[in-house]
Amino acid sequence: VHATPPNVLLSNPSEVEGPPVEDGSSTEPTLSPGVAAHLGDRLRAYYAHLMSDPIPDHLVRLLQALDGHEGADNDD
Amino acid sequence: MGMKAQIMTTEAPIRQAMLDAIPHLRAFAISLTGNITYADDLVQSALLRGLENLDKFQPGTSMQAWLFTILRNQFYTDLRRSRREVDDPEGVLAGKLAVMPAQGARLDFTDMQAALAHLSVEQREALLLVAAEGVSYEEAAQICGTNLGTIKSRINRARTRLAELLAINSEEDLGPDKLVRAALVMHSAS
Repeated sequence: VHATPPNVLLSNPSEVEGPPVEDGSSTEPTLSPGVAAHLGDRLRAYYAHLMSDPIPDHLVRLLQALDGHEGADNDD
Repeated sequence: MGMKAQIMTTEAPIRQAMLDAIPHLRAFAISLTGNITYADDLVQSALLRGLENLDKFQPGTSMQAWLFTILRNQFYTDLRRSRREVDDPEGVLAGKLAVMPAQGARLDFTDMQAALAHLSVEQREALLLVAAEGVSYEEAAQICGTNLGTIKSRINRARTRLAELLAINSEEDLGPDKLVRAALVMHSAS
């Protein structure tokens, strides 16, 4: 008999990935709706701040390749 | 039989779709890596590889999901090569953003960044895609190259771990963590 401890007891969860759970709910802990909602709000607020950060110009300029070649090498 | 779409007629929507995807790619890459410089490198190489492989993009599918897949694959290639990992444990990241989070929200922001860094990469990417970026479980499974059950399982574990790390308790329980946190905020503000 192998009394392997469940994955939740391992300190590094990236080391072991448990078998896929079909509905993701039967054998794993679930957060209460209030906690889940609060967590979701905080995660979205965090992400929204990252989304609002201005895009660096050099990333936008990469797409000039799609504009044809006029003006593409005018970089001063 | 008209196998190939005329590139002339598709340029404008493709350009716009790629442009629209950039803030999403950046937010995903920054939250995944915790490093803005590296994140922008990932976004840049995803855009370049997208441009080079536009003939492989299927019209009518999501440009954003396609670019997410490219970016995510590049990130994993880098991880395998150099074991590059999240390297912003002290919350330096917030100070590198063009616009810093407002005073009151800044602690929330740095706490979230630090907590995300404690998740495994697999859990982090799944949670970010579905709970922050808002893609469907199916799309997240495609982007991450895995199946629906695995994605749901990773997200479930990620949520549970994140709630622990951030000490989010049930509403009626104002635990000692929150009281200490409140005291620390007051202290640092004075």
